[in-house]
Amino acid sequence: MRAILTIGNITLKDSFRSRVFWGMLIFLALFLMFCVYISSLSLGEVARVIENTGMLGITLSCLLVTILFGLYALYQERERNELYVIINRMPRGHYLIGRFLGASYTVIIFGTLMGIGVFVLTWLIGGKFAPELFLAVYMDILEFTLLTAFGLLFYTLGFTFALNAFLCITVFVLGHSFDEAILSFIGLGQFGSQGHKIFIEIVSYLFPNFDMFNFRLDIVHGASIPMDKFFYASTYWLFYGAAVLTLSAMVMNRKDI
Amino acid sequence: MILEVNSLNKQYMSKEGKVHALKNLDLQVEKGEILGLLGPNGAGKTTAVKLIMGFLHPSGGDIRLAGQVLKPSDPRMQIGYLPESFRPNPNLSVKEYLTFQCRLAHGNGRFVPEEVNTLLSLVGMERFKDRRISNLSKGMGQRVGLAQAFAGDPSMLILDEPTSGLDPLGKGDVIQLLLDMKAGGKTIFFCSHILSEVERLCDRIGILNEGEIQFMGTVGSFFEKWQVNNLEQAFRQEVLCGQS
Repeated sequence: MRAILTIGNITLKDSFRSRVFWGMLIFLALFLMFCVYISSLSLGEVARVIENTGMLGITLSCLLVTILFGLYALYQERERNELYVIINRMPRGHYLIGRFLGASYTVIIFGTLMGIGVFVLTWLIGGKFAPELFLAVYMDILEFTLLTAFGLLFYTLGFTFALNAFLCITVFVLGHSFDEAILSFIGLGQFGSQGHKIFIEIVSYLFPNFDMFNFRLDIVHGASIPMDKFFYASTYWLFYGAAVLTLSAMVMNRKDI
Repeated sequence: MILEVNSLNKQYMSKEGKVHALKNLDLQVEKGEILGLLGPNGAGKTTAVKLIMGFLHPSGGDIRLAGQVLKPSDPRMQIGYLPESFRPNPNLSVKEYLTFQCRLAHGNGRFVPEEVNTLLSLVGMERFKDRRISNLSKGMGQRVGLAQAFAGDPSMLILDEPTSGLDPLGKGDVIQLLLDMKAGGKTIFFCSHILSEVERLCDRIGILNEGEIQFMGTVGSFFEKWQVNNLEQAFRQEVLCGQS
């Protein structure tokens, strides 16, 4: 357990020290300024526009953080032959969990910073007190840490960084489209039997279903968020994340490095 | 005997077809000795080291450390390892990096912060402990690499080209350091291209060529075999003989 925490902490320290970290912070600041500018163009919908654009910014920054800090660092470590020294001292599965933890810390930091920024702007400029924004931040963190786990799996499968990043973005996009595809399919009604519908629904949860973490529209429209959905999404993240990390560890143990 | 390698084989598929990178490698490393593995480029030295370290899965054979069979992919906590072309994390300071490696080397055991100072003084890096690794020269980076291999006080060291990137003074320091380690009871197994350092350091040498061990014995017996008194000449004849 200590070794996992050591890897997690060093990953975070490594992120802090990299120039990309500060570049990302500048990106966040610019994006928040962009939110304010866009909202000033709207007619009496300032809070809603800030919330909407801000949440898009949270998603975008979390995606960038996942790829730049969660994945790129892994490839750099391998290129420096440092990976050998580390996995000589700990089981490969523990190494992956440590890396996952470290990348998650970074996603949490950026997601929370961006969330605080959007919350403050919505409150001060839009005049709307919207603490439910932090629920969206929490869901984004779940979503992107799960995506990090996928990145780790692709890494253990031996994919290059570029292919890994591409696959992660593909999983992200498809993970958000599945629900819609199912709804359209079910909407067609007569074309699908009950068995087909159940099958597709199961497949959508196996793929993964990232739309489960999406409460943005509910928040922007001020709708209440059912707590059962919130717990369901957290449980889904826990089991899905554990399964992907376990699979990654199994692959890494069987592969030549 | 601390390390025993029996009939170790490694085959893999490449674009050119099946490659037999290592053929029935047998190796015994006695406790407290320095064994050097020599060979031309592509002879299979790094493959042999990676197999011993568990980074590659063997196609056949087994590896025993202190009598216990090692499974591939299991960590080798008792072995300090320095890979070829190693570069430590450039975003950390020397002290932070060694602290990180010491923590890992002790696993769930107790980590003593003084160990980092001992490692720093071993490789002569006390003055540079707070310097960011990205600001170190290649030779200094190699010293940090050596220091991390000593973390956790392992009973055996496996070093792949330990003096690469070092200037002549640095090379001399490392050779002396390894001799001191040997005097302290450590077992050292290393790969190198630099014949002069092999001659100075090793109790025994192994010559690996095209995946096969062609010679294993003392430097003196190697000279006797080829009736020369120069390691370079003997090595050249051994490799040419293997190729013909």
